[in-house]
Amino acid sequence: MREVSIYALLLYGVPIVVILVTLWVGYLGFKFYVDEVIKK
Amino acid sequence: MENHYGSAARLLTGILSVAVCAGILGAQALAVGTIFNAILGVSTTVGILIGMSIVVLYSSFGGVWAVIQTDMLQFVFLGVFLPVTLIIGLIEVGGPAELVSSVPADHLSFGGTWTIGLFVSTFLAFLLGETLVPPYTQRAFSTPDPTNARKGYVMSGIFAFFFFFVSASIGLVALALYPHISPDQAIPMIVKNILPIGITGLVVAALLAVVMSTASSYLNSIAVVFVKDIYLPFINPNLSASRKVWLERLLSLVVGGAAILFAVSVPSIVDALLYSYALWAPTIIIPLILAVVWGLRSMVAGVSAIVAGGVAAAVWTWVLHEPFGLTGLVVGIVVNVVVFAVGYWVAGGERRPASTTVSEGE
Repeated sequence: MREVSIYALLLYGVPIVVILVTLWVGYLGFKFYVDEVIKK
Repeated sequence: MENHYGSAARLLTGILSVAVCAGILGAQALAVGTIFNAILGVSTTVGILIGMSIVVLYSSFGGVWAVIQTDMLQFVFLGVFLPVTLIIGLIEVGGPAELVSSVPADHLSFGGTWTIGLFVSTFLAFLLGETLVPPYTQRAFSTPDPTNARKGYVMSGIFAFFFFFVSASIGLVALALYPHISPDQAIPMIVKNILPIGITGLVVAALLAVVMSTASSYLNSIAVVFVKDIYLPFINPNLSASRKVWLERLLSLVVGGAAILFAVSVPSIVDALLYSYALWAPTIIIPLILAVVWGLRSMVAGVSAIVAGGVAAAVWTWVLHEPFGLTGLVVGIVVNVVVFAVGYWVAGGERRPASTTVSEGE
C-alpha cells in the first residue's frame, strides 16, 4: 500500500511540477522577448 | 580542436560534427514520420517529408534566431501538454495503483531485463553520444558568461530528469493499455486513442514540437559547422557574408534531404540515435574534454585517437558484429583513450598555460 502511494505521488506530482516550471520559464521567455526584442 | 591538435583534427572534428548532427537529424525525421503515421494515418515517408520540409524551411530562412524563437514556443507546448497526456493516461488506466499492477515487474525495477553490460553500454552511448555536440556547445557560447552557461546546463539537466520521468511514464501507460505495442508507437497511440478531441490537437503539436525543435537545432548547427570549420578554413577563406548565408541555406536543404534518406533506411528511432552516437563518442569527445578541461596539446595524440577510436568502433560493430555483448561504441571509447594516452606520451605532448582561455569557435 505504501509503495502504491509513492507511485501516486510521483505519477501525479512530477507532471504537475513539470507543467508549473514550464509555465514559469515560458513567462520568463515571454518577458525577455517583450523587453529585449519588442521594446528595443 | 585546432589550437590543441592541429588543423587535421579541426577538419576531422568538422566532418564528424556534420555527420553526427545529420544522423540525429535523421532520427528526428523518423520520429516526425512516426507521429504523422500513427496519428493522421499518412505513410511514414509522407510524414517525414511534410515535417522535415517545415523544419528545413524555417531553419534555412530564419537562421538561429528563428530556431531559438520556435524552440521557446515548442518548449512551452511540450512541457505543458506531455504531462497533461500522462495525467489523462493515468485516469484511463484506472490510476497509479492499477498502472503499477498491470505492467510487468521488470519495467519498474532498476535495469529491468537488461544485463549490466547492455545497461552500461547504452548509458555510455546516450551520455557521451550527445556530450558537447554542436547544438549544445552553441547554446553554451550564446550565454553572457561561463557562470550563466553552467547555471543553464544544471537547471536544464534537473528539468530534463523530471521531463524524462513523464515521457517514460507515458510509455508505461501505453504498455498497460496495449501490452504488445512497439516502443516507437507508444506515445502516438496514447494520443490517438485516449485523449479528448480538443486536447489531441494540442498534444500532437507538443509531440511535433519535441521533434522539430531538436531537428531545427541540429540542422542549423550542421550549416554553421560546415561553413565555419570546413568550408572557410579549408576550401574558400574569402567567402563574402552574403554568399556565406546562401551557402548555409543551401546546406540546410541538402542535409535535410540526406536526413530524410537516412530516416527511411534505419529500423527505429533509437537505432538511428545509436548509429549517430557511435560517430561522436569514440572519436571527438575524449580529446575535446582533455583539451577543454586540462588544456592538453598534441597533434599526434589527438588525430591518432580520433582515427583509431572511429576505426575500432566501426570494425567492432560491422566486421566483428559486437562480440562479448560489448557495443562498438564502448570499445571505440576505450581505444580512443588508450591511443590518446600512448600518443601523448610518445610524442611528448604539452599543456596549455593555465591563464590561456579558449575562444569561441575553437
